[in-house]
Order: sequence, then structure tokens, then C-alpha cells
Amino acid sequence: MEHTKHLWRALGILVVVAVSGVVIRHFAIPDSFGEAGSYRYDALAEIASKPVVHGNDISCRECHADMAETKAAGKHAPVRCEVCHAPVTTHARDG
Amino acid sequence: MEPAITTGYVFPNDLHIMWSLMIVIYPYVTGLVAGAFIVSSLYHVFQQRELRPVARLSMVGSLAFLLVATMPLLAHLGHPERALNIVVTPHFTSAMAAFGMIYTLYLILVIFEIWLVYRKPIIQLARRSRGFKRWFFATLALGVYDTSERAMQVDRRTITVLAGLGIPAACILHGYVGFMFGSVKANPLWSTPLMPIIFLFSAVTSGIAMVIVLYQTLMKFSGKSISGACVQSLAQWLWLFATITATLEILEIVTLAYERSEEWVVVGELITHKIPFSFIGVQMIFGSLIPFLLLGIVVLMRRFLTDPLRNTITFLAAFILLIQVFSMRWNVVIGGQIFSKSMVGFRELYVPRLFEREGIVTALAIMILPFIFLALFNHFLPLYESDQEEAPGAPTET
Amino acid sequence: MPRDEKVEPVTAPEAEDRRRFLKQFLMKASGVAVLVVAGEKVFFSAHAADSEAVPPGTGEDYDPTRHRYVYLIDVTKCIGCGACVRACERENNVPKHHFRTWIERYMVSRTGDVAIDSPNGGHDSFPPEVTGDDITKAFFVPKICNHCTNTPCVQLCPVGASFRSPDGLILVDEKRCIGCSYCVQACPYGSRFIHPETHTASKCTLCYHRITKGLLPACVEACPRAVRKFGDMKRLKDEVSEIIATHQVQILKPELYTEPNCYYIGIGKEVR
Repeated sequence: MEHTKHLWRALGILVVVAVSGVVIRHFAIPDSFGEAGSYRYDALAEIASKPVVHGNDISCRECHADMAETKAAGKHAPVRCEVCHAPVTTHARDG
Repeated sequence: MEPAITTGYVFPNDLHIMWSLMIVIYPYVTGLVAGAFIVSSLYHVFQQRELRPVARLSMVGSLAFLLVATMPLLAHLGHPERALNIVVTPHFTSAMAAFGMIYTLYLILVIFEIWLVYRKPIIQLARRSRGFKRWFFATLALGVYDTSERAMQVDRRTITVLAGLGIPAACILHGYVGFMFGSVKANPLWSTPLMPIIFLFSAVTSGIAMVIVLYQTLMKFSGKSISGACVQSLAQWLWLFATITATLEILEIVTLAYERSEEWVVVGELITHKIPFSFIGVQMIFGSLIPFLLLGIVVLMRRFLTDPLRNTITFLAAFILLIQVFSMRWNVVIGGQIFSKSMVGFRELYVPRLFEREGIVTALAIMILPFIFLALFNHFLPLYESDQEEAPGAPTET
Repeated sequence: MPRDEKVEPVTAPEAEDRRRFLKQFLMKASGVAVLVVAGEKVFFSAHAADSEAVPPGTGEDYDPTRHRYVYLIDVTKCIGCGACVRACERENNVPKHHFRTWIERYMVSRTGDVAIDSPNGGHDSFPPEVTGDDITKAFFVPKICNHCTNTPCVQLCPVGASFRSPDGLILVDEKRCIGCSYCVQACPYGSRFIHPETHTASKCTLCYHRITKGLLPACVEACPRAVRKFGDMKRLKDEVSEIIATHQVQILKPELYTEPNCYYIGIGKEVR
């Protein structure tokens, strides 16, 4: 076809842009994306690795067995130690 | 953030409006994009010849608003630097994920069509000028200086095809925006299949209105005469689309009210007590009824109107309709967030601040940019055709 | 509804991925385990009920495809003390005036008027009621993310930052989230918010960092009345699965068909 040179050039530019877009996108996709669905599978482990703050009464009993017995006999038996006292990690960190 | 003033019971996380002024102007801008494009297609595809004076203006206007359409979104995002995630890892069950693709396709289409329409003036400019300007326009012409009759004919046919493709593209671009709201089942004001249709029709309304305002302003500034036939035709189209839009908007509310379902308890309260000014006052009475009457005069009594009178009435009606469409976006986006998802409580009323990231100044800046672009464009490549010039974008006879 | 349908077969990650996932946990989670197991002293062990058998959890042997979590809230037992809200705040570093869990108070008068409140999400418990009406019944309803099977928030996330994990939880990938807050709009329960500091969506994870190490969610741990129960549909003889299978349980907003995995006992028509 004669007189369509400009259209072919425009189309060429379009193809170049589209191909480079696809290539760039390919490298921009994060690792583990799409392994188990449309999300980054590594995120699961990241969320799971957030620091634990609270323990439970068993953690407290490790050191304060006597207090645990007193509490168990009293009216606060169902209330967890950490509800009124500090969470075990902050407590242990402070010494 | 401090706790907000609420009434009734509001879920504790529902205290503040999440989608602000930016998300109001985003559908407003894309509506103008789609609407202006439809006007240019009325000429290129549907051969409404009296619209020839606004064919170029509406097409370039569509591009001007398209170029800023992403800005309100970027201003709104918590992480604008991650915006491209939406094209890198689009999650296709989300309406929003399609945005990247629809936007890009539409942008390519509009730029390609404008380029073909302006190819001859671009080549002429490249030939006339020197230095950087010459280099710039030669690049724009892609180095091909073919303005033979055969080449022009190829261009005209391609333009018609592109304009034809552009109609569904414009409808998808804006219908999708309506779908984004219409598909949120948690929100009784948004969640209706009517929503994309309402958005689409009000988009065309705002597009035609914007073209009327732009055209008359441009002609005044360039000292040219305004084509009465063109304004008359635009006014007729505007009347039609504005009427359908208002009907759909009322239908949605009437259906909700008549069904008397759980949703109406909260939506009814919202309309009558929380946003009566912007909904009943601005959107319905001032924005829909008055232009309906004004345009009715233009359409039904055209024999008795002089050109300046018709132009003025149409300009006024178009200007009011631009406000109406904005208020509709406001009432949908903001109104839909005033009630909590507990359905028994209302949040604080949202008033955007002047200086904040998503504030009034940002919104004004985004809304002014397209006009600066248009003025710049007009400086090099006129947005209107002189009567002697043979129109490269004219519809083909075949 | 037949219960079998709820328990999905092992989903996407096949053996290879599973091994990879375990490796991930070895690398990322063990560091934390060292941190919390201060010195030789073991601070954490599993829930009191089956404490003897379970060794301190480090998360190293965790396989998400072998769990399917459920949650049960017995409204009839709740006293509105707010211990769960406070525990959640500390455990997950929840910003002020935002809530991953909260408690609502419903007060119904003889005429059927319902007054609902949740001052500061029930964080500081509740002040005496002041409606002045003749209240004939009142109750507290704790709320968390419902971790819906058919969830609108994940469906609407444009970038795949919100997702449903193989163990049935709705989680947010903070590194992918663009902060568009579409998911906040989509959640019918108001469970999500945009974190004021990270500017990403944030929500209840059922304390994923705890449950993957064999611990209970902080809110369950903190509750003095055993209102909140945490279960695993894929575990044999699971207490919660058993209750759901044999008792009348309710869900929130069933008309929206989001298929919540958080079940309720004792909620009435007033509950939002």
C-alpha cells in the first residue's frame, strides 16, 4: 500500500512501547507472586514473623508459681495475668 | 486523628470519610473525557456535520482531561509510588485493576486519532519553522511528509474507524468508573446496576456541556463568530442527555424509596437530612430542572430566538449542568460515605480543607491544568478550523 | 449447609511450595522465636487446655495448607470488660481510635427501640447506660474481621495486596498495598481501616504471628469469660468445629452472602 508509511511508523512505535512494557512488567513482578493465588506468597511468612507480645498464664507460672496458685484460688481465677499486669515480653525485657 | 462527631451508632472504624474530594473529581474528569469524545464521534462517525466547528476542540479537550485523570488518584493513594502495582500485578476480580489497561488503550486511541487529524498542520509547521521547533514537529510527523490526496484519504478512513472504536472505549472507560461504585455491595447507595448507566449518561451530559462552554469561550477570545447551527445542535443533544440523566438519577432514588427495604432507612435519612442542599437543591432543582427549562426553550422555540440569545441561554444551561454533574459525583461519592455500614449511624459531614493533600487547592490545580494544556495546544495547532481549510478529519462519504 | 463443603481440600501450594514455605518460616520466624524464648526460659506454650503435650511453638513446622481456622463468639457470656480490645491493641500495635476488634453494646427497650454504642471500641469498658429508656434487654457483641470465604474486600483489591491465605484468613500484604482504601469501602462489617502511619490497609489477622506458633489469638487469650473461641476445622476433635456442627450458630449480615468464618451464638435481630 502506498501513502501509508506514516501509519506503519506509528504502529512500529506502538509495538516497541508495548513490547518494552511487557518486558518491564515481567521484571517488576515480585518473587513468589502467584504461587498460591493472586498475591505474594512470601507475605504469609512475613506476617507470621511479627513479634509475639502476649504469652499466657503458663508463661507466667514458669516464674511465679506461688502467685499463680493464689490467683487460682481467688475470685480472679478466670482473668489472665497479663490482662492486669504487663504482657510477658515487655515484662521479661524490663527484667 | 481525633474521634469525629457522629450521630446514631457508627462502627468504630467508620469515623472518617475514606474517599475524599479527589475521588469526587476523578469520575468528574473521566466523565468529561468520555463525554467530549462522544461529541467528536457525533461528527466523525454519526456525520453530524453542523458539529464540525467543535470536532477538533472536543477531541483535544478529551485528551486534555485524560492527561490529568490519574492525578486525583495519585493524590489520594496512601502509596502513590506503588501506583504501578496496578499494572504489574493486576488482580482482575477487581474493577479497579482494569484501570491501567483501559486508560492506556484509550490514551493510545485518542492520541493516534488526534495525530491523524492534525498531521497536515503538523507537517506544514515543520516545513515552515527552523531549529528546535522544526525538529520537534518533524519528530511529531514521524519524519513522513506525505500530504498527498491519497494519504489524506487513508487518514480520513482511519480516523472514522478510530472514532468508531472510541465510542465503546469511552463508554467502557466511564462505565467502569460507575461499576466501581455500583459493585460495592456493602453500600446501599452505590450498589445498583443503574450506577454505571447513570455515570455514563451524566458523563456525556458533562462532556457536551464542557464543549459548549469551551467553544463559546474560545471563539470569544479568538474574535471569531460562533456558529449558531453548531450551538443549536449541541443544545439539542445536551437536552436529550441531561433529561435521561436526571430521569435515571431520580429513578434510582424512587426505586429505593418505594421498595422500603432496610437501605431506605439510612438512604432516606441521608437525602432528606444530611445532604438535602447538595442533592435536592443543587443536583435536582438547580442543576436538573433549570437547565431542562432553559434548553427546552432553545430546542422548542428555536424559530423565535436570535443567535446571541440562543448562545447565551445554552451557555448558561451548559454551565449549570457542569455544576449539576459535579454535585452528582459529590453526592454519590461523599453521600455514600456519610452513613456508617452499621446502617444506623452517620459520620461527621465532610468539608474539604483548602490546603491539604486532598484539599481544594489540589483539586483546583488539577482542574485548571487541562485548560492550560488546551491553550498551549491552540497556540501551535488551532483548535478550530478556518472555513477555507479542507478538513482532514471530515467524515468520508463512503 | 453441609460442613464438608466448608473444609476445602488442600489448595494451591503443592509439596514443593510447602517445603519452600517451611523454609521461609525457618529463616524469618526462628529469629523471632529466639527473641521471645528469652535465654533458656520458655515463656510460651500452647493454650492452657492442651498445654502438657505441645512444645513451645516456633512456627518452624507450620504448614498453612493443613489448617482452616474458624472463630466463635458466644455473645451470651460477654461482660464487656474490654480486655480483648486492650490485648489486641498491645499485641498488634493497633493505632489509637482504630480497631482490629471492638465490642458493641446493645440496649433494647420494651418499645423495641435499640440504642447501640461502642465508646472507644469498648477499649476502656463501658460507662453506665444513660438512655433513660426502660431497658428490657442488653448485651455486648464483640466484633472482629469475619474472614469471609466469599469476601468482597479481597475481590476488590486491585493489586492482590489483600488475599485469602491457604489457612482461610484474610490478610494484607503491607508491601504491595497502594492504600486506595477500596477494601475499606467494600467491607460490610467495618473491620478494615487505613493505618495512619503505614498508609496501608490494616485489619485483624487472627494474630497470625501467634497461631502459626501454636498460640491463641491475643483476644481469645485475654477473655476471662471464654466468650471468644478459636478453632481449626482441619483438626480432629476441634471444640469449635464441634459446636458449629452441633449447635445453632449465627453469622453477621447473612443477606450479603459473604460466608463469614466468624460464627456467633446468641445474637438477635438488633445486631448490625
